[in-house]
Amino acid sequence: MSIKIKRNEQGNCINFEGSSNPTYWNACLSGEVDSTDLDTVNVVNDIITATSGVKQYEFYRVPFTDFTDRDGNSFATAQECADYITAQANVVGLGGSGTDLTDVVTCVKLDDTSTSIMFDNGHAFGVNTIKAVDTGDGLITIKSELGDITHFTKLDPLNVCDGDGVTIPGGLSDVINYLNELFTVGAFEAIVIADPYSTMIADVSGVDTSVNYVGYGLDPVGNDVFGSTNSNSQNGLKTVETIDQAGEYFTFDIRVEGVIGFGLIHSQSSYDNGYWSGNSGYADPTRFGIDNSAHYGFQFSHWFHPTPNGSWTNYGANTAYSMRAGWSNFNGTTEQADWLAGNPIKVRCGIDTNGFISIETLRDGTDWVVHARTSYPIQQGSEFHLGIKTNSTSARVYSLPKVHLLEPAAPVMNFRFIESPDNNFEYPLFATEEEANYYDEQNGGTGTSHTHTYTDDPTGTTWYMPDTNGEMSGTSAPAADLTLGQPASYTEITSLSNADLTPAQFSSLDITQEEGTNVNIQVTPAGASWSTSVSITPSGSGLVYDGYSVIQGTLTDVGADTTYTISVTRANSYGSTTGTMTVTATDVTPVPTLDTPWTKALDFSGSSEHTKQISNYSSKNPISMGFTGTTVAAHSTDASKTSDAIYSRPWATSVVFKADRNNSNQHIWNYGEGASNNNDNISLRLAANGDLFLVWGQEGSGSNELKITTNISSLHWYGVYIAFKGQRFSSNNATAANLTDAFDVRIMSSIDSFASVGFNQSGVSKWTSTGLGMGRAFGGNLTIGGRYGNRSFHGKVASMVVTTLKANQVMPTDNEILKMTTDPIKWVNNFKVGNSYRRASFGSASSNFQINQTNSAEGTQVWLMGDGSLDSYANGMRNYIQTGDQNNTKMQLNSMVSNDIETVNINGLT
Amino acid sequence: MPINTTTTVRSSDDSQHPFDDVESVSNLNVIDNSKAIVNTAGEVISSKAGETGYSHTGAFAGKPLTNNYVWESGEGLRYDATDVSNGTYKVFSLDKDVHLAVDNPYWSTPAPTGVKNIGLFEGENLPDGFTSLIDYDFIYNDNYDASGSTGFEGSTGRIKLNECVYGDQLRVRFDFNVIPQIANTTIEPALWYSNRADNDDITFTFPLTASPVFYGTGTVGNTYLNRIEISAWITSNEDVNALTLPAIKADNPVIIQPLGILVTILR
Repeated sequence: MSIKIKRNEQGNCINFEGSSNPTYWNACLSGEVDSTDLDTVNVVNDIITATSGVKQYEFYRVPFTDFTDRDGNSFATAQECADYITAQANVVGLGGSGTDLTDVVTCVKLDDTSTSIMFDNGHAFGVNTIKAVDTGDGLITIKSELGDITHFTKLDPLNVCDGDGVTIPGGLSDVINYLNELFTVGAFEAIVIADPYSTMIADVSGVDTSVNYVGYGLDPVGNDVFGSTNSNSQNGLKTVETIDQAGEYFTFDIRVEGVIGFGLIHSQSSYDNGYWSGNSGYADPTRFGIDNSAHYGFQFSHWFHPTPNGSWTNYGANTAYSMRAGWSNFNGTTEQADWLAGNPIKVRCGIDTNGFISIETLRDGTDWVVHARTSYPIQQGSEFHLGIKTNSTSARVYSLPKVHLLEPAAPVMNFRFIESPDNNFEYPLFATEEEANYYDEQNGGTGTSHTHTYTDDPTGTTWYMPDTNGEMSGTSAPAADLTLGQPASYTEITSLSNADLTPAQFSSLDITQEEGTNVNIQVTPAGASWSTSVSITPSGSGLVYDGYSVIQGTLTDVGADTTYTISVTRANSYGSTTGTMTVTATDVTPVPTLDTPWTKALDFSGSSEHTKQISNYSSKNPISMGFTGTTVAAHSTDASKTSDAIYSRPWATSVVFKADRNNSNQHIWNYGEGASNNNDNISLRLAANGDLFLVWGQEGSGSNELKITTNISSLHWYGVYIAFKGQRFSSNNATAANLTDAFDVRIMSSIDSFASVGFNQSGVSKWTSTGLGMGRAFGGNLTIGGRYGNRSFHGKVASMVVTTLKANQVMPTDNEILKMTTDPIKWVNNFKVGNSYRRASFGSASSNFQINQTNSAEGTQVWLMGDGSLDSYANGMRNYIQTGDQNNTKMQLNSMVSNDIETVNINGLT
Repeated sequence: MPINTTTTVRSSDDSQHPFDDVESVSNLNVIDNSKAIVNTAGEVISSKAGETGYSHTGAFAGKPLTNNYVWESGEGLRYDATDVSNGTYKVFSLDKDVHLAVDNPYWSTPAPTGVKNIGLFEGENLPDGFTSLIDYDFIYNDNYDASGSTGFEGSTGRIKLNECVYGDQLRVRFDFNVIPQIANTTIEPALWYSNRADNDDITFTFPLTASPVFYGTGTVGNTYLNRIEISAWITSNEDVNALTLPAIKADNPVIIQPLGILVTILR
């Protein structure tokens, strides 16, 4: 058993893999060696311990050998183990002091979408969420834009590189500017690389120093103030005065070609306080000019040599340096010629504004040109004397060195300008009111200034402009400012171009959704300052732009997959952008909503195959009309209603079938007595030619026949609804007109997915045979698939509904007809259950129709032809109203086989 | 004449009975005077009227001599990472020296018998016909292969069942402290039990476990007293001749402070 101590950076927590302990958040735990058993380690929960006052352990006296580090390495001691636990459980960086990046080269880039800032140390941040700041130590600190979280500290500007690993040029401010532009996705092409160190305003005239001579160093006869009697390094000139501020420096003149070095020497207190860096022996100020080495005494010094005729090398405790322009471009200058000719040239040694030790010469009498500077900033609190050594007896310091200290009233001046908007330049601008007021005063003003902020300044800084000499409509970037006695170059405030300020182009992944889906697309983020317009083509998508931020709506039903293009245009005063996306509405096959399954049907194939209702009692057969043998008058006042006569026994049927179109005379269903002479039958007959008839006939005597339709197709399913109002005529009155009024006949089909119930087919012209008296009593059975064993049907029947209608009532509506035909189960639930109804042989109505209730089952039969819960070859087809009934309304299967119950798919129903 | 009396024995020795708990309660009803043990004054001091009886010892090996055989805070017997890896039932031995040091009656009435090597009660309260329930002198390695794999290797002492009869039920209350070293630790107390044939050959070895005890977060470094009761039947010669000692298994390292066992034979 070993317990691996593993910090989870992503989770900001610590895990003890291999133990049963839970995960702990960062900064909750610490390790300790147990005070009694020194080979064991305790892990203390600092949070609970602090709040409860009682030490709470998470691990107690566990041998340190039971633990390993994250890589599986064992610990040498319990203390090492405890320290490791403490370190892993308390990682700073997400707050507090941040991660120290001393000596760490750090490259930064944006991701391809310019939404994330990626550091090559693995960290990533969203754009506009962090900023680079100068905290005064000459190094860069990376902080959160909002809140006060420090992510990284002590990032040397020389160690910053871009995504290609190229070091970012320039000074501290330039690198900070670069980073902030990157962090805000600014306009990189606008960067001006100009280290603003030269804008320091110290005592320009300077003050003569007092100097001491060391070793072979001396004040030679004549005007020169320093020379050496020996060419080794045991000599020197050292000022009594010191400098300790960024921007302070020494100046002096040298002349005569020879090896000579000049740099800064720590004061004794500065050295004793440990402000030196590098080799402590070299940095020791007491060794200056004593030891025979150029290094001794200097923190950093720069040396001229006759062979390169100028800059040669550096000596000191820490010679890490940055070679600057003066090192190489000294050749050919007037200053070089003067030096070689023995004429004095002016040298400056000091601390630049970024805290580096800088060695410079004066070029053309106006510009200080840096030859070398340290690559490291000096530590706050450092204090330096000027030191000069020579390895030549001929080299000279010509003038007494001067010290240039910052004038108390002169702030550090950083001259800035901005191009805002494009091609308009404003300057000078200062970050502090103090600078601006100083500038104003030095230029004849009264020390006043005003402020500016710029919408295209990604930092949102308030800048100060002096009231005197301020320019707010310049046409080009300013040249160096010369009003303060020395040239002061400008640094540009990075501003975003119009292109940068144009709203970012809208982009979004394309969307594909089913028709009828609610869609909500945010096209404008909260707080956006631009205006947005939206177009959607083609029209009819169902989506609407709310005028501000969201496109929403329900995708319209489509006949086929349809793609809509959404164009989003964002605009502000700097321009506009347009982005597009598409929304594809996919066509979805409607989900059936019928309660009736429509998965089965009975297949009839002639040969006497048919089903027969068990009971032939009139009380169980609505079409029997109570076995009454009488004529019945139509409704006395309203021809649209069922008859209100005493023997009115109206009924309705509906059947869904598909015919094979066998060339024979067939009965799809039949109620009656059979094929013998004088047998009475009511049937739905399919003629050999495909014509479909409603027949009210008496064998041997004739029939009343309605041709419902002609030439039905074998490819489609049909639903035929027949409703009888109850009036029964004598032969004389069995006219086409009266018969027309007595029936409501509809035909539906899968051609239109059973969408329409159509019109009443009972028309005068469609009664092709009339004149048969209707006053005879009807007995016998209801059969489906034939008239008993003859006129057998060839085709499938998926459902059959037979029901009584109540007397003196309006006929079923189109909606009820549709439901009875296309969804018998729903028809029962919606139109029958709970309502009054008429029992099969009764004239009056009964109340409260119910499923599984015998009287209700007598009045209505619904056969689902295999979809009923008890339907089977053995059980027969049960009446949905009373599936348990086997004696009255069950359909028994005659001459049929078990696989005549077939699976079907009916367009519009299944 | 029947005697109807209740005797409550309460500890006055905090080192052995930190909760000042009731050590025993015996409610003697209808005592048969013919079997009563009386002192010279004629007072009833004990009885063997019932056949059930018990013995107690705190003689666990490892108790620190430096602290008069009382566990100091945080100290104890280590159930270590190796035990965890091997899934060991760690057997707790009995030690005669510890017995002599700790199993001393703390009461004066009734007067203790002064007989050692039997248990705290010095022979009182034993089941009828028993001379002892603890064998402090048993040394496993002297009788069996010291490098075997029964789990008893190196152990000393045993619960002595040799005077049991078929049908007896062994009931052991195992008192111990647990100091979890890692959160979410489960311990499984048990009697480590080896059946033996009449010739003392070990036939089967297995744990008779009690319900496991779970120690979750917030328990690490704390001390928890457990008084686990474990039972076994005595129904064959191999049971009568069995070896058994309390033991513990855990899924994380823990520190165990075994305190005592109350061995009861029920009839």
